[in-house]
Amino acid sequence: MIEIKDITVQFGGVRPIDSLSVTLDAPIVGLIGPNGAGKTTLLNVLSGFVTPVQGSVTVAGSELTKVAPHSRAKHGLRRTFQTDQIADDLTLWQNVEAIADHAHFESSAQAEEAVAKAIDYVGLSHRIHRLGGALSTAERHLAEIAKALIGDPSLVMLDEPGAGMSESESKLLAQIIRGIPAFCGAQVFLIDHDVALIDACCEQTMVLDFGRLLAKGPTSEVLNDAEVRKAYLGEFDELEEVA
Amino acid sequence: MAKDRQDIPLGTPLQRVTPLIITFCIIAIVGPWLLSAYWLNTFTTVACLTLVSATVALLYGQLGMVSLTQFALAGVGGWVCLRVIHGWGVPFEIGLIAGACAAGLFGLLVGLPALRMRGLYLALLTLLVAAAFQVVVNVIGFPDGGEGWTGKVVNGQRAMIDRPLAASSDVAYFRYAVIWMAAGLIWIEWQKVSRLGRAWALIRKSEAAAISVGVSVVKYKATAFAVSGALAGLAGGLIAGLNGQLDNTGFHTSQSILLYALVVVGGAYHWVGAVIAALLIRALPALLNDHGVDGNLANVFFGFALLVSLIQGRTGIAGKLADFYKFVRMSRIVEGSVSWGLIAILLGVIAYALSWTSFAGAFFISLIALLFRMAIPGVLWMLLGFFGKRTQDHAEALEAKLSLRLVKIMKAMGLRPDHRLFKRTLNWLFIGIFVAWVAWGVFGLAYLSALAIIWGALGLKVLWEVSLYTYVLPWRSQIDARYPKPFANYR
Ligand SMILES: Nc1ncnc2c1ncn2[C@@H]1O[C@H](COP(=O)(O)OP(=O)(O)O)[C@@H](O)[C@H]1O
Ligand SMILES: [Mg+2]
Repeated sequence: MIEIKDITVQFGGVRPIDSLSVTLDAPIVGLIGPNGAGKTTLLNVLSGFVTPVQGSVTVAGSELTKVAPHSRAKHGLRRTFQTDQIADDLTLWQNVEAIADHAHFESSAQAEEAVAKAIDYVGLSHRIHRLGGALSTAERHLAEIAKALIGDPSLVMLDEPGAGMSESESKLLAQIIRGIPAFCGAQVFLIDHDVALIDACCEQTMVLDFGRLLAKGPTSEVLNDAEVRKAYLGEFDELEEVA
Repeated sequence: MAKDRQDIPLGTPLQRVTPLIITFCIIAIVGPWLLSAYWLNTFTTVACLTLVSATVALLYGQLGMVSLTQFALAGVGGWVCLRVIHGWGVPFEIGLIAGACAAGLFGLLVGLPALRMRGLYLALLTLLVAAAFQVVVNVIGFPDGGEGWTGKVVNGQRAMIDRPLAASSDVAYFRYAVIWMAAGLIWIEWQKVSRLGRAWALIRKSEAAAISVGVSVVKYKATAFAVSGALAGLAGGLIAGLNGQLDNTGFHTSQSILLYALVVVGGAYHWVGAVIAALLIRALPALLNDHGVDGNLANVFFGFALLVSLIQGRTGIAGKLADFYKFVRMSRIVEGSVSWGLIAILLGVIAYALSWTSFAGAFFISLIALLFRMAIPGVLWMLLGFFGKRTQDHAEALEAKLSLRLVKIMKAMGLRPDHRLFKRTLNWLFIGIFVAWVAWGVFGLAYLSALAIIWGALGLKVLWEVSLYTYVLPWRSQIDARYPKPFANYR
């Protein structure tokens, strides 16, 4: 469960997040909003890269506001970045293993098993020896997810994992994201532009509109909300066509 | 074609360092046998500088940090090594290790404020430290058995330190230095595919991403600074042991900058890059001086090479070589080694009988020619790159056109066509001219005799290939099936 209380972020004269309070308790929560709405900034607040001028965040019962960014991994937080962070000169296996190195496994055998399981879960077992630089865009996004699943996470935050994916790849991605809570017991916080992906994955969705919470609730209700529809008419037309 | 490329495991750390072990064993054994006294000492210095270059490459290649202090850190190591040995009369190794520890600590001290700095600011800070070291050393000098904490003789004979008992001769000391250097390089290579190297990889990809998975960026950067300081200090001690003393002029700030530039030229991502950098900084000027050419002329070449490397991307000469080796199959290497080995022996016997040169000279020529056969296309390619990608493309197209025409002619004449004949011919012309020049300089062999030996060897190799091709072919495909591409991954 993520509890955000009265968070405000200020960058000079800009307030990308303005006294935002919201509690997210579904196993998979979606976050949508136009470009520059403050989605990535909210994620940065959760992972500690951005210090809010006021407010507090609590994840899975631990109050994190004052915890240093590199210690938040110990509290079970994992995230991916909008631009993927796969090292080009390590193999896929080593990329994931690098995460396991810092996840406090009891033995190296256990760490190896976790790495193998995570890679297998995202369906990349046939690519373990491929160098990061030789992976396709979709494979890199999936590898990022595998990295986020290492070491019993309690919250996995994904920042636009579907960017640049084809429709079939996106379907596979949705299936993988839906299975994460069952795979490792973590809550998933999914940011994406692609409303279809959010619709396919999330029980609960929040809409951010330039720092304000526009709507929050069960995904189907939120997506049918008149105000939300007005703000995202273009994208929703597309959704109806698909439906 | 790109689709069915095979993924090859990067290998265990032990597999990764095996090539280094083999290479340096060969160098340690064969080196003294090939080199004159003058060149042996030059190459001992090259071994020490290889270690210093490797630390520059470690910081730059693994963490993207530009450190211009490494040469000064070698000076710190050398200073402490001399001081400890003169002061307490301890064995050489103790002095060496004390120097390494001191330089490691010093490196860490430089590194700590640098942890929050990046790029140009870091480079400037490290440059300042290097300059400060030079100023201090100008004042206090290097210890040579005098009184006081500086251990400096005021007016009188400078005392020298003794080399280790087991390595008092020049030959033994060369091997001794190569062993230390190899140990350092092997340790670095080992780390690259271990936990430490993986953390470095995360950090150089993005510090934010590393932090988000719980990596302490400060700890891992500090480790890198300390380790590279210690290895540079070790190299400094080894240089002190070679000469028995050190000069104020030996660790000039300009050398630190030059070393960094040459590591970029040589390649910061592959251990061969460190060797290339050290050869360029010491062996090339020595070669030029030996011929009465001003060694400073090398600086012009360095400037040019640095420009090319910066334009060509970040992997340097070593990266280009590794790229090239990616396409070389194991069978070609085995075959090449066998045929060259036979030819070298044959030539050695002939040359020795005609008393043109020693056996070693002929062996050297064949070995170097073999190495250059691999290197020259990459280097040429790089040089062409200086004139832009389009020039490269044009050259490639022209070569393809000429090759095709040649193949047609050969077919018309009823010969088995060779697509690469044109490239090879160019290559061989080049190798002959260049290696003969080196042989002339280092072994005092008459230039024309050297040229005759090399071109003769290349001709023999063609004969060998043509006459034995039908037998070699099945053998080749057998090896290829078992060992696809040995150098597919590097760094
Ligand atoms: N470090 C920063 N400094 C100043 N402004 C920032 C910074 N990070 C983000 N912003 C601004 O905050 C707003 C929200 O950005 P972001 O959270 O990245 O939006 P998105 O919803 O597209 O992920 C944008 O106007 C952006 O320009
Ligand atoms: Mg964003």
